[in-house]
Amino acid sequence: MDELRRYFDDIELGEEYESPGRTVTEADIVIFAGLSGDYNVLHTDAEIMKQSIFGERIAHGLLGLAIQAGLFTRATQAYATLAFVGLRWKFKGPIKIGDTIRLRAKVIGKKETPKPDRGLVTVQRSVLRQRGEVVQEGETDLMIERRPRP
Amino acid sequence: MTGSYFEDVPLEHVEETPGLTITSAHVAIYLGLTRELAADGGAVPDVLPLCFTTGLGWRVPKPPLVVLAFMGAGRGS
Repeated sequence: MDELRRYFDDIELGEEYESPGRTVTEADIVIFAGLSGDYNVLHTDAEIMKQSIFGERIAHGLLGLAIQAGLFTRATQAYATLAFVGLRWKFKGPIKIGDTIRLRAKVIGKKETPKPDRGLVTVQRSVLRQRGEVVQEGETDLMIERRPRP
Repeated sequence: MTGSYFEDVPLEHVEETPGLTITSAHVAIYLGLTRELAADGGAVPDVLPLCFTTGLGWRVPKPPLVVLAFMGAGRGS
């Protein structure tokens, strides 16, 4: 089972990944509204949104963030992640129903920690729409397990 | 629209929402939606609590913010 996960020492600075695409559907937005309790008209009222700057309902920004977390698992072999410890994120553009998003990611930082069994990895991430526009981007800090000593 | 506009929002004001108990059903729905991998021991996926914040904000008893767009989140570790 250990070989299925990548430990801190296995991850190289500068590694880059790209995920498959994922088309965001009305169902995704409806489910996320129910899950989160966020029924803002931006996501739930098609009539009001016809008059808005977006012209139609848009996905929750946090839905995009959540979907990219799943896309990351499809972009590379799973990390031996202990915890997600930091996030710096910008929502740059709307994700609309029918948009296909994918994730590009790059390891931009590795840092040892005072604890010998773990290290910190920083991953820069960009969520792109089908024409290549970046709709969300940022950095995530992950505490990654070090390979257990025999 | 009844709501709190930019001029109505005080700086540094702290609101507290009602509570929400996170259940295995929330985790199952979230994992199905995102295709994140289930954690060992059934731990709650890290992004899921963040997903609840906007919905919890709606439950504060005052006119909701008239949101045009969510622009950013987070700070460094």
